[in-house]
Amino acid sequence: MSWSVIKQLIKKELLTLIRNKRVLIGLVAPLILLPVLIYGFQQITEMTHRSSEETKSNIILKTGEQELPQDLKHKMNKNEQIKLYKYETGVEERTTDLIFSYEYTNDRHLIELTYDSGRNSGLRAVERIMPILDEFKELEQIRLLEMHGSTENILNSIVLNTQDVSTAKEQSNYSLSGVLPLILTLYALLSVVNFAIELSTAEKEMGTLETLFSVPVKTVEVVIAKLLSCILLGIISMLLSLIILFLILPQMIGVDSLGGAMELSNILIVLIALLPLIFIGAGASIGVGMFANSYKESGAYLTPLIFVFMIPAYIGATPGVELTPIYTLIPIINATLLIKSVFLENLNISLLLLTFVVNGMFSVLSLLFLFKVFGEEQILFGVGKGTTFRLNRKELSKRNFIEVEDALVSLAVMTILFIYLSTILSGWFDAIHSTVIVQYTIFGAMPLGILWYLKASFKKSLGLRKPLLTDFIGGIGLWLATIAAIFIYQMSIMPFIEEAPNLVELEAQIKSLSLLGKFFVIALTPGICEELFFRGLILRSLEKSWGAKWAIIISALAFAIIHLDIVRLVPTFLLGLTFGYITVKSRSIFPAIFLHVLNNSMAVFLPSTIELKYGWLMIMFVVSLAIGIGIFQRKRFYR
Amino acid sequence: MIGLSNTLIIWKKEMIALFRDKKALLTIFLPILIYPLLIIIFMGFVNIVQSNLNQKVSTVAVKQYIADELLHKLEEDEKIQLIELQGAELVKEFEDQHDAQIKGSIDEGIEKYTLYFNRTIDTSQRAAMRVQRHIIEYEEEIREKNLDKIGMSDQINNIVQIEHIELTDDGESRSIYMILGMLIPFIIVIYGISGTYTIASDLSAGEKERNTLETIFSIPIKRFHIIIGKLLACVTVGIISGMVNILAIFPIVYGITVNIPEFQVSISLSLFLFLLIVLVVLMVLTSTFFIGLGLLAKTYQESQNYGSVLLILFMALSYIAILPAIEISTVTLMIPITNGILIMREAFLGNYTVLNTLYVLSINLGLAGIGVFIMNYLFKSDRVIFGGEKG
Repeated sequence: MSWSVIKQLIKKELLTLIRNKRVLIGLVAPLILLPVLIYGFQQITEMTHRSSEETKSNIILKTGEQELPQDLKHKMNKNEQIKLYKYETGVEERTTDLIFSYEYTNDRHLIELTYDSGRNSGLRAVERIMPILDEFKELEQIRLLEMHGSTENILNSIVLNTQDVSTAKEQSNYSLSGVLPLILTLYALLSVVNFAIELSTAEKEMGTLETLFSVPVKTVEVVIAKLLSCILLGIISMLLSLIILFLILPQMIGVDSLGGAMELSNILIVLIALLPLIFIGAGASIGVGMFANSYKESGAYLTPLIFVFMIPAYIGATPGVELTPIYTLIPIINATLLIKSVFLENLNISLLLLTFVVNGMFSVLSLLFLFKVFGEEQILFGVGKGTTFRLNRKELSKRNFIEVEDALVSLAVMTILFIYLSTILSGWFDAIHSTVIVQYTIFGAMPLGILWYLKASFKKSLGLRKPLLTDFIGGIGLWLATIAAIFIYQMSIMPFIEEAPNLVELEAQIKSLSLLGKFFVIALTPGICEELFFRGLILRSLEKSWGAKWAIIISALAFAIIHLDIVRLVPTFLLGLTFGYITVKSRSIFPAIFLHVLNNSMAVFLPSTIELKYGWLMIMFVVSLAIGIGIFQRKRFYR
Repeated sequence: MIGLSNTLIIWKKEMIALFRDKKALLTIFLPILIYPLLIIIFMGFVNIVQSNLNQKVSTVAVKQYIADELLHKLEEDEKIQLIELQGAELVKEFEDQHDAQIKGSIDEGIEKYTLYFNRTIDTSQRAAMRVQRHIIEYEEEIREKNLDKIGMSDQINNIVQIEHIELTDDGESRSIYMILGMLIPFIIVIYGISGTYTIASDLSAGEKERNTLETIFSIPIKRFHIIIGKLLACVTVGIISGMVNILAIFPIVYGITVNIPEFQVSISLSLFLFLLIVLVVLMVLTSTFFIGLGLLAKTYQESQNYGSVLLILFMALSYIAILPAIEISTVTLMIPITNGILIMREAFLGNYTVLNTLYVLSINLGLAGIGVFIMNYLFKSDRVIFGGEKG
């Protein structure tokens, strides 16, 4: 895969797209049409509003023998929006908006309002006459009371005031939270669709795809170039539309300016939320576009896809729905809700991270689908032979390691499963049970299941090799250095974060457990299961294809992200790096398991109130690092 | 009438060609499957969310004086949890601890309550609504009690009696007719327009692209008849598309409204015919313009390009009709498409004005006529049809 070729291809794709009239219209039309339409709608609404204000309500007065009370009649006559007619037989009732009949019997004013409630004019007439009648009623009541020597206090002995304490900024953000999240999500997902069609179906229809494949470029380069051009143009078109939108939106929803909502941190969070969506949109629509043989066909295929994109976005925009862990698991909905929470100023950092991870995984799946469509899914990850998962296990042959694609697909799928399962289980069981179940099923059983299914060697794929004693000693040295580094890191960030990071989850829940129980739940279970997955399945297969360095980094990154705690992100990553290094050097998984158990036990059994000093930690870091590295390097020297 | 039969031949040919194209059919009929599902899912979801929200308890802080009776009322409500506030606490900071705050005082026998809440926070808004309901109820009870004490309850309450009477016989279902009259014409027209948009490009530019125009021209039929045949095919698709979509939505409307006992809407034959006539006229208008544009384009794609701008314009005109407070007036009667939807709505309310109808039909048909004229002119011109080469 050569980047210079991809760059050339992107240039070619962009040139074709920009020369294409349809694309240009697609880019420019919204810029011109949007303001024109919104302005036009506003004008028309204002015009009709004005004219309905100006239109007089025709009211026919139907009185019996008595006259209408003078003050009531006077008030109705004074109202300029009301025109009174005397009732005469033969008057066309349809041209009037309301018939007002009045009668005074038994010391009572009986009023009947006859109108058509299916018509604006009728409703408007009632709206205009009711305040007058209510006032009349109140005055009559007071008059009656006074005649009997009472005061009006009897009627109004309780006064209720309501006071809205929201600030102007809160109000404008609130109005924005109703529309903007939906618009932003839809823009991100749908602005790529047009370009995707041009890049896939149109190319196919014109028959130039064959030409493209006949020149010495790899399919992978073509697909990546198409994907990147699509995303690039999608982002440009989205930004252009957004600029226009931001210029006219405040006027539309009656907000002074978007200044409050547009702080840098907010913009960044919105971008973090939208980026995976653009990838999901581009991957899915280019992929679907490739199924269509003609431009006409693509419409039939894309309509359902667009629905699939739109429905979650609309659900997210439903008033009253807020980002909860459950909604975070559903792609698209979570992005809409996340953006909403930014505007409502109740953003939750860990849900932000969770959303990003979930949508990130889904964009990986979407890209996987795209490459699968091109029959080249292995190129998504660069090297190897493609995923080997087959429905019929008999087609598979025995092997030492699984393919790197299998490992990465497993990683993506299992990350999603892990997040889903832990959320669902936490509703059924308490935190301890759900943690143990998730650990054993996702991290313990599933890697073994995958290895069995793909007929890979357990011993080699997991690194089930007898380690040397020096591996443990060197491992402890490196682990101590890591712990020192983590403490230094934690002490440095402590002033900037609200809650102190702790190495143990569910701290509160485990207090009820016995010492052995604590050890089992916190140390032993994660130590074995997580290591089997990260330092076994993932690290080994990556090491084989990409080399030790990348294997360690990627497995550590995945290890850190899956813990879904932004405060612990760096510490977990460092631990992952150390465990990975030790596993590669010792060529065995056991030292890493031992150290992981040791690490978590320390977090359980060590009192949390130890005085820590920078100086001591620095010394501990340097010394133990030197010992650890020394042992591992020397070991290699002996070999 | 040789002209008419020739036109019908072309129409038949186009319809057969269309119905052979399974994918084009899919685009038209897909909504029947998708809409009911989507709307049911969506409504169910919104229902769940709403009922979940209604079950949440609101925390309300009470400060200083509050009448025992009112306090009792608030305490009895399971959805309200009261907290008593001591001393002066800042109103601004109340959001964190509670959803709303009541501050009361009594002055010469008059109880005054101020209810503080934050409109931009849903929980606070809900809390305020709940409290407000109780206070209003309490206010009415006290009032009744006071009036009873002096024995004037009936007299005071009934000194002015106001009764609302429905003008037409439909009674309660009147407002439902109003809503249906707002939605149904709009949906029919919107989907009709998108139906004509999809098919018009195929009938014009698509034919050009496939080079089958020469074949048609070789048969002894006037070009004008060909173009009218194509126009009819396009209109037919538009009507089918509009009707199919409305049929897809009807089961849902039925499902929602079946729980309302007063709801008995029947669409009479005359109303149906009226809707159809107006729809046909609107479809003729949009079809002519879409086909006319399609003739200018060289390829199907290009035609869809140009058409998309027109589509947005037509859609915008349709949206005008459902803007709040829009009704038939001299201004709105002048706007094509909008006026069509508006007189359909009037028909739902049982109001068929011959003059307005004629006015609307002639405006839309007049525009369509201009469209047909231009289209015919374009179609006769070989330069446009065959792109510079002599036919």
